[in-house]
Amino acid sequence: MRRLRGLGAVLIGHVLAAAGVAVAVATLAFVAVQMAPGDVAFRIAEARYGERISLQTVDQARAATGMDQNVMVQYLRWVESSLTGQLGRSMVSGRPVMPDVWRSFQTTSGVAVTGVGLALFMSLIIGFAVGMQQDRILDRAFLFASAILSSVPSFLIGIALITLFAITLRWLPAAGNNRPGYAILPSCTLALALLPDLSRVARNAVVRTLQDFYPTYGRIKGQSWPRIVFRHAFRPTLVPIVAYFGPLVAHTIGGLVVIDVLFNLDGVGTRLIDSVLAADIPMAMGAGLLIGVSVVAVNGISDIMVQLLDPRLSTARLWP
Amino acid sequence: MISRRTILTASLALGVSFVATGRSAWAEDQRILQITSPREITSLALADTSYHFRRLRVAETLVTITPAGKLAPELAESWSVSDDGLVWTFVIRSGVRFHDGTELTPARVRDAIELMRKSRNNTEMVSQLPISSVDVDGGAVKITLTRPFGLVPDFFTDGPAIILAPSSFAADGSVTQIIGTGPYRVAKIEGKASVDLESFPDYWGEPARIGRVHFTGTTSPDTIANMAEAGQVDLVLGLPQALRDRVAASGGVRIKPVQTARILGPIYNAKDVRFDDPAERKAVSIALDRKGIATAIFKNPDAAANQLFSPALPDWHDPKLPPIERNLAEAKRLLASAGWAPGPDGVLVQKGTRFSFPVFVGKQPEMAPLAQAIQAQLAEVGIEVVLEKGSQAPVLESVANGSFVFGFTRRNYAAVPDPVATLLVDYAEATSAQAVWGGINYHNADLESALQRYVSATRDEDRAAARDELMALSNSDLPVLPLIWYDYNVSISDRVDFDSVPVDALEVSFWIDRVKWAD
Repeated sequence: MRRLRGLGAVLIGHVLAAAGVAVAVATLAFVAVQMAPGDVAFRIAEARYGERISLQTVDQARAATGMDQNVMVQYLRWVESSLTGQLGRSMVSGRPVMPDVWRSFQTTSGVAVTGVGLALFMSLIIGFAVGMQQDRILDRAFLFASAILSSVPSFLIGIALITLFAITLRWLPAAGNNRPGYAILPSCTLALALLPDLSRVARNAVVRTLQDFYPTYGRIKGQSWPRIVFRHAFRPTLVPIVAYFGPLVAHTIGGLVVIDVLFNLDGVGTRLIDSVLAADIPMAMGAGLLIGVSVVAVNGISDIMVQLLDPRLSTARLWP
Repeated sequence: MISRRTILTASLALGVSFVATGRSAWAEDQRILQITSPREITSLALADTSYHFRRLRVAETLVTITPAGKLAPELAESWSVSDDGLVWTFVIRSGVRFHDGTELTPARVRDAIELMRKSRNNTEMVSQLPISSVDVDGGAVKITLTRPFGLVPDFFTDGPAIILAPSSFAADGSVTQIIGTGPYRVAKIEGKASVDLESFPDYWGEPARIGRVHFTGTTSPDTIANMAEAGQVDLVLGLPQALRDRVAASGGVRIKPVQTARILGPIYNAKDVRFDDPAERKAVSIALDRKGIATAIFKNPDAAANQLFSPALPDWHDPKLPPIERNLAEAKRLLASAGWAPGPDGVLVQKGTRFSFPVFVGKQPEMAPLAQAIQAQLAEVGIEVVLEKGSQAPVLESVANGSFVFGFTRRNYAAVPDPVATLLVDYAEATSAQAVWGGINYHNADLESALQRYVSATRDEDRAAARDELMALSNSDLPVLPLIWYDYNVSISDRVDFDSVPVDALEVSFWIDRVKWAD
């Protein structure tokens, strides 16, 4: 009962936080659009008409999008439409924001879930493999290699994968999302970008767990190493890894924007950046809102999973 | 109990399934013509993507332009003009159906023209026509003008002059879907970068040779190059010039280049003290090393422009005109004659004004090296160029607030086949105040008079005389400093019959319905 109450409190905390963060991120997106240098109407017209931009199209864009109104009126108008769940219409395409943002979110989440899942799977294997060899040559080699690899930017990893698997071997598409296998290279790029740090977290967790009392007790009882690892050490090892998910997701969003551009994916990160640059306020706020909500949601899921994995933490206050 | 072997086997299986999924996915859609171009579907507004859907052969206009650059009937079977030049009659093709099954009628054409007339956008040509009324006359549409205007059929080749079905429009007149009459119909549009097309079985003309097409819009030049090198796309329509050699060297693709009517060159504010004297413009022009820029950046020495109109417009190009050679001594002399003298830091000064200006550099791959080359070359005559990042919007904003001095244009003089249409937008008194990309504050009464004589001429010799005058004025006044004529490059994979791909110098259409598989 006490554990359920703890989980409920975490859940309520995160729902409230999600609402607050969503509004804050969307508002920041609005402010970012307003703060960017230059007249907003010119940026909208350029995004809308490309090389056919003219002074007349700028005037049309200004009138059609309501940019001639007071900034506060524009903001309140968006708040009003978002309360109905519509988020308004894009100032560039004229289409409703929600379907476009949602489609981009699906593209991004497909790549993110596969990439993070792959990174998690591989990091657990690596973490256990090297963690059980603490201070031996394999462990030292891993620590050295992961320190170097963690400094390689994701776009370099992506270019290397494209060159090898798309251009040289021609096994996988280089870009675009119209082929079923499109997510493989972006997901692998993301996974490889996350792998060094995640593997170190896993390795350190394994080392700490194996230094604990119960693995020693298991060995005294004559249990095999695989049994000790998978029956006793696996679950406590997962706790720091799952707890690391919150900052990991926030870190991942930046990497995903790079991956979107490199692989020509219409992801939510690119949509946010493009819409801020194009001064497409409803789209920027819609994308910002969805990103904010998803970061809080992953944090919440991570906290709940940590409590489920380690019930002792259910009384701890995980959300400020 | 999970053994180490199980984990390793599972990892291997996962990796193999990933690759297999990709390869089988690739194999499944090999018979879809995969095309890409550096253009995204930002909206369905006619002023925006009508050009694009016409290039994709989804929507059609009354009159079209062949890949050879000649006017040809499309939704109008024929056209004629009355003796006084005031009434144009377009006979509408019978048996044409829109992709929703409805029939194209003269009444529908009349309504579409009325909608085009309402546009207040000076980049849309039909709204510039002096039309007094549009009427249905049996199977034809009669367009009555307020004054003779010889370019009516040319203006109806403009992108926003596509004729769409009524079901394309919402109640407020905005376009919600593209229901055209072309050999391809839109099967699906997903986001701004993905369009699926399928051949339209009831097309009035020759049916498309390939049944399904997928278009990927890609704005990143490197991604376009990657896709071409990976053999992922059959056609790259508009491969950036700077990447042409890289893609050609990858094997499996061949490049078909053609010189277009699009010019890349500096534009300036003719009322600014730095450019108000023709000597200053000429000095800047001859301070630039066109051949060097064309060879080093555009990999094509023939891209060096010596006049506004490229050889893609044979009636307007003067092949006898010599190249504009770089002459620093003459440039310095001209600048001195205009009152400019070197200041303490070497930058020219005139009555306290430095010959220094900012230039916005766009994100096209060739623009940064081009701007740096110009900066270095003009520095040699004492002109300081400050490079700033930004594309069209900041240029236009600086024009609007009066701070514009110098910038770049990428002007296509074949937006409709006769370049006079573009010259009218840029230099005719009625529209030039709103025009930017042909130069700012440039006025020449002789040029405007020649323009009016050209469009109202009813005899060929009168029109030819006016054209010669327009060519001479544009080449002497330099309202746009001619620098580079753009090439249009199509990268063609070996899956496609190379000879079946028409390359359109006037950038009107991709003509994908004529493309055949190699086998």
